[in-house]
Amino acid sequence: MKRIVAHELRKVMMSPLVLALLVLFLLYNAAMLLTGYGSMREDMAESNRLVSQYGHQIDEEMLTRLRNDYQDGLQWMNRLTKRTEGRTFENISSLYESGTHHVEGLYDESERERFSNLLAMETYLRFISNIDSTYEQLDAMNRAENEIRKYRLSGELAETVRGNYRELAVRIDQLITNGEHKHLFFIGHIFKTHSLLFKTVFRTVLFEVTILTVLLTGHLLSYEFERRTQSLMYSTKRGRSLMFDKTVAALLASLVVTTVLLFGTLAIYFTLFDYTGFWSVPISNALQAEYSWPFISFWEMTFGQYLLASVALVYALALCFFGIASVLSFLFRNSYAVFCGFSVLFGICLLLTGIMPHDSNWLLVAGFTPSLLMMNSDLWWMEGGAFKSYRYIEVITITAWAVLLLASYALVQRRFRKQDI
Amino acid sequence: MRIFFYELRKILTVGMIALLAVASVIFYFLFLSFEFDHFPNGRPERDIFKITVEEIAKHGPTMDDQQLAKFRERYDKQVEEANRFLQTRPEFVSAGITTYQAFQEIGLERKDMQKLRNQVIFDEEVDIFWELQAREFIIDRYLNKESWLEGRGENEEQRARGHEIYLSGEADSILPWFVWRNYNQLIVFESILITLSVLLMLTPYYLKERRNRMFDLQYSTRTGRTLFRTKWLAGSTAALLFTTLHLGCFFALYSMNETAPFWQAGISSVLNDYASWFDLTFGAYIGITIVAIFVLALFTSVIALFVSRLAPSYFAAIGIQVPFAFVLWVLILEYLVHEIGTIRYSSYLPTIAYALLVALTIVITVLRWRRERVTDIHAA
Repeated sequence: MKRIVAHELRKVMMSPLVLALLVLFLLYNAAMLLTGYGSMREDMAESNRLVSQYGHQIDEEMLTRLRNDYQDGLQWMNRLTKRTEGRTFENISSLYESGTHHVEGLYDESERERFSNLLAMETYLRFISNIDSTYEQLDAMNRAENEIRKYRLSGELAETVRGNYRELAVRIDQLITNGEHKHLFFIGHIFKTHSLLFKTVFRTVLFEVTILTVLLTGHLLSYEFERRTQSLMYSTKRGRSLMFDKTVAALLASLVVTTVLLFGTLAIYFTLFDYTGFWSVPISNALQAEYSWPFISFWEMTFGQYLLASVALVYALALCFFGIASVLSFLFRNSYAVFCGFSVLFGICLLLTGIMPHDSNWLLVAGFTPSLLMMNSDLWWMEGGAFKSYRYIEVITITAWAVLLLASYALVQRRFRKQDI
Repeated sequence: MRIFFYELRKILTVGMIALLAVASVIFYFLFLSFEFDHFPNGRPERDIFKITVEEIAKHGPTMDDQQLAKFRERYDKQVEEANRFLQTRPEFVSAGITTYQAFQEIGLERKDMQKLRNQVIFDEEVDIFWELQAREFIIDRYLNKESWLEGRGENEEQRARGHEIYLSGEADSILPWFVWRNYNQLIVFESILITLSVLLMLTPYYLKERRNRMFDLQYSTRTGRTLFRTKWLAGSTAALLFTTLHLGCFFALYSMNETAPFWQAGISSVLNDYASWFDLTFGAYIGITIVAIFVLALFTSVIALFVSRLAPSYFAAIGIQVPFAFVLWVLILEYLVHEIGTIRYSSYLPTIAYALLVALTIVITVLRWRRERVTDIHAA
């Protein structure tokens, strides 16, 4: 059996098409990350420098050091500008606004570097000074009402959402006591790194993983039927258990494809964008907020843990899609039909929430689908509006679909044993 | 001819039609329904829509200086109406706001007055105030035609075209930006849906024959390899037939957006946020997009047939078409269908792009047919 699995695995992994698509997808991801983020990478290096110098925890001691250094820097700058331009500036931003900082011959390379360091300090100090007032005003129940009004929810559904936000309010208090929000991170309003990584990169990888997983699963499992070799293959000693071997091979191949695409792309991402000092920063920190409402994870997690959990969820989704494709393969025995059937199912799952009444909890339940989960990759493990206010969505979706798919697989596999082929 | 119809029936089976219908419905709800359900989207777009339709009914789809003067008279009349409305409302009178001008000049520092104003505009949605706002927008655009149009160009050539549009009176036409955007958004997704459907429809066509080892049989009959040509023709015909039907349904739905009054208006209107290299009416532009979609459908059908003939398995066929479809859709979204003829790109772009598509369609067909006549059918 092991040998059959190995051969099947070889068949799909060595196929020029899978290899070509893997290369093509990785090239696309690399091109996507390489174009247009040049200046952002330089600015992010400043954040890294700050963290290596002051640590990422924002407390009184760190703030005093940062403020003092900033003041020293300002004095140095004004001494310098007095000499070169004959005037002083209130802060470094006004120097940048005047545009004289990059005039040739006025300042040399090292001075410009210090300007940019100072600018980073000033920006961070400005954002840090807003943290306390922002978090004092965070009102989960107010947000709940806004969300309910926005989506015109009513009845038991509105009550459920309110309940979720009551729990979130507790979580927000806990977050503030823990001081999870007071850590340095890339400033979300400027860089939007969270969306870049968890929305753009993750969703792109997920789409690619889905396409490859469904294609190769359908291919492997329908292979004998498409080649008209089924009468021969399923009358061998291994017989119809061959389908099981093929499933194992498809599972392994899906894992390989996911690993190559996900880790390949993440390797490119983290080579380009330096996160060295930020792995242990809580994901719910205040600075990475991209909108007025910050990111609030349901559990206390560092960036590293969050990334790990999200990587795990990518694998879980890949396995879900593999499961759907393998069950469909038993039903259709034709990889074209599997691909079409999968796409239709994927689309229907996205539309399910649209047909549910706005006063019933079924609307929430209809959102527990892998396709919707995939589209929300930037909000995993976090609060993200009325339909993303329940903390166990990811866990329940994956568990429920795993059970459903395992049961369906057992069913179709058993039926296949006695089926006329 | 008889074989042709048999072949056509082989492509358009009940199952395939059902699949395409389901795909269309899903696609409709995911990408198209919003632009149908929410058009015009909220206020003041709804008011601008109403007013521009009225204007077109009065004096045709252009607004020259004379008509603008009349339009401003009507605006002044409505201002008086607004004055009378304010004078009948005791809360405004007691606040000393008895004219529309005073109403407009309520500053941000007057929180109580702001509240009054918001109540009339947002809670009661009094039509006069929304319509006045819409009229102000229209008047402002026509009064500052020249700067609006030149602002659309990024380089010398584009600004020159903007100026030309201003001078030739093209800019006078009445076509609000949201009518334009709504159509472009819809037609872009419609063309993506059609090309997707054509790929879905034709991918299994030759592959199925190959899987059933039919070529050995078919190519040794008296009809022989010319059958390949008939099949190719049937495939393309099915694609075009489907496109016709689908566009029929699409425009039946689109007609409910009731944009017909604008079809006579030029597309480079100052109310629009787009400028074209070509002096076209909105109706002619719609015609051009339809032709474009037919060319795209034909091109896609030839690609799908080609892949279907050569790919050894469904797996390979779909895998090859994934990158193809991705590139095609990116091109559709940016160059091929979306705002054809925009001055943001070269004026030659549409002609060259479509000439290339047609050329590719012909070349692939001819080359494949030449090859098919002599090829070893067991090899490829």
